[in-house]
Amino acid sequence: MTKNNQAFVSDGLPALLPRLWRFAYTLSHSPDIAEDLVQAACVRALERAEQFQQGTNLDRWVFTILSSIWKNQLRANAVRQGQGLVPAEDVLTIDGRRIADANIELQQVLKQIHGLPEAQRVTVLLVYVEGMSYREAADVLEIPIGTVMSRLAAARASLGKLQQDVPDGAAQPGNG
Amino acid sequence: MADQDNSIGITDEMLVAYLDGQATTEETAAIEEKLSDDADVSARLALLDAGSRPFRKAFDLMLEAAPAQSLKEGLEAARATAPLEDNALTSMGGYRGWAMAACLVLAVGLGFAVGDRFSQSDNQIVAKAPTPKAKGWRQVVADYHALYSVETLAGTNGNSPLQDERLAAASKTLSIELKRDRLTVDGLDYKRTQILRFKSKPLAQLAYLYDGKVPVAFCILPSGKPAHPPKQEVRNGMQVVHWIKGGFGFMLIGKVPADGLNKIAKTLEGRFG
Repeated sequence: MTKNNQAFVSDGLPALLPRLWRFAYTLSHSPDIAEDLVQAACVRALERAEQFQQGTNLDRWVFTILSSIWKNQLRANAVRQGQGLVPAEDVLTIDGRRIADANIELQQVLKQIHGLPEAQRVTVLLVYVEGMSYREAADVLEIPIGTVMSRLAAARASLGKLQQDVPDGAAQPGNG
Repeated sequence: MADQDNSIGITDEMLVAYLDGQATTEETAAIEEKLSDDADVSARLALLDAGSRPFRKAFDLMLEAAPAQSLKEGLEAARATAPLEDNALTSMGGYRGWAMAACLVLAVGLGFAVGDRFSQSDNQIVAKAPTPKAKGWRQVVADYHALYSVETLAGTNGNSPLQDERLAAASKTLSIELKRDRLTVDGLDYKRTQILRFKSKPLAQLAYLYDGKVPVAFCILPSGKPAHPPKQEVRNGMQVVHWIKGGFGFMLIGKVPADGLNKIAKTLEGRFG
């Protein structure tokens, strides 16, 4: 049974990698830390595979592990050092890859979200992108459900203000 | 007569749950009742509603940017080490090394985003981190550049269509013409362009290898300061030549002989401004 679990988790991980990385990047704002974080989460998921209950959601389980490693072991260092080397623009130019043909508007949205504090942007990711319920997001982040709701409210208030305050100045005159 | 103000009871959290379809039936009823006659509740709901975005589509851009190969290799390494280790971070050390993690953390600490508008968001988790004294852009670039090694750039093909796109994007962002013929200089092998940001201004960083092994960066930032010809200085043990011309600050930096860098600066200065 344990072996089956190990195989189940191991086989399920490859498909999750891009989403795990997106989560890790949204937490850390560093492409390199994000890679390490994903790898550390995979190691721990494999080690603890016997604790995974088949029939429950593997993504949520690995997301919880990743969040816990970040919170308990890596974030403290990153914060102590003063987070934020990677400018928001680099979200779009990660590892030399550029999201070339992406809709400008979506790039702008991504920048705005990544301009939010970590706690807010990661909650937005889990609920509005990963499609988790408030309860599921609370479980992954190991926070009360009320905190999930207040983070979403704060995020949406900030984004709402951006929408209301900023005239259409973002678009640059295109010259080819 | 006592006019009970129920709007106090309608929190932003409830309004978000309402917008997300996750409010309870009672909350939904209470909110809808208030919406018709309570301007405050309507205004807050409108603000939160304006905070909606195509979140999923935007975040899906990141999936395209995920370093697939590298993540796969990381998973393979995890599979190889997981049964042997009790602690995920210990095994992570076995693969990439804590030293590397420490370097990254240090890199993160260098504060490239000190002047970034996004770093000023309220309630930020880093609010308690000590804020370094405001550094000028040349020092920030020097700190950043100090982290570059030949490996940073060696695998990058400067002649790729990707780099064409990035040059075009940087040209547009800074409103300055950045074309290969203006940027090709004897002795430097062009590698890549990144758009960074310094105090809300876009900063183009063009990275080269000098002599096939020394990273050199040519950085351009819009500047309202008076023009001046190239000046030389040393920062973090690296040579720097900088000048202001035509509304832009230019800076060339690298651990290369001063004469060599001066020559390159002269060539570039002649082409810009």
